[in-house]
Amino acid sequence: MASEAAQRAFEQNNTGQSSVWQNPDTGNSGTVTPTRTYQIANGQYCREYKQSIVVGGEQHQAYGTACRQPDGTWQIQS
Amino acid sequence: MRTTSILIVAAAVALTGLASRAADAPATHDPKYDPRAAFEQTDTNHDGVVDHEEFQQRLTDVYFGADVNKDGFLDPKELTALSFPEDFTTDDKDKDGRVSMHEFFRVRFRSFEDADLDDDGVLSREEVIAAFEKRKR
Repeated sequence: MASEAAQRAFEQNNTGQSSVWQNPDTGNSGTVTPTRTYQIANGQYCREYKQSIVVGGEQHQAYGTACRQPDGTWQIQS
Repeated sequence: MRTTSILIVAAAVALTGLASRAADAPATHDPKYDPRAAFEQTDTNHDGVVDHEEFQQRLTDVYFGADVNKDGFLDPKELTALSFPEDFTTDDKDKDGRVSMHEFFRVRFRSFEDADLDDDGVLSREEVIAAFEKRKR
């Protein structure tokens, strides 16, 4: 669920627009928000993002970069 | 030429609400479009002006949203979804039938300078609104 939300956010969301996910089985939830978009040399898109996850009632934040692969999937770089 | 460029910069800043799907109409065609709201969203550090970095980030977002197939280039069909398809021939410097982000930036940054009426290197709210108003005429 988190992965699907991330892929959706990277591919479709405007900068600053969050995708939300929730796992009813575990109660965990989170958001993925692209924060900056850029291209690298071959025209490949990369997006920096902020991820917020609530696990066991505690909220955690993480930051990373994902780049779009030729097959249309987004691969997390860091 | 200057008028055309001002229209383009207005469109670039104005396309704040441009979504990533081609089905969404460009914001500048929306009669409810508010250039002041667009300015506020582009001025991400909220210092009252749009600087080059904020402008470039806005252009990147516009370009990314317009690039429906995400191949890294804007083809004529994708450009048509923007508000300024007439500018395609101007953008496509290498005449390869598509506009790269570099080509897109090069033309748009020239329009930034044209809209910067007092030449202070940033766009004020009034300058963006003035460019938008000229676009409507």
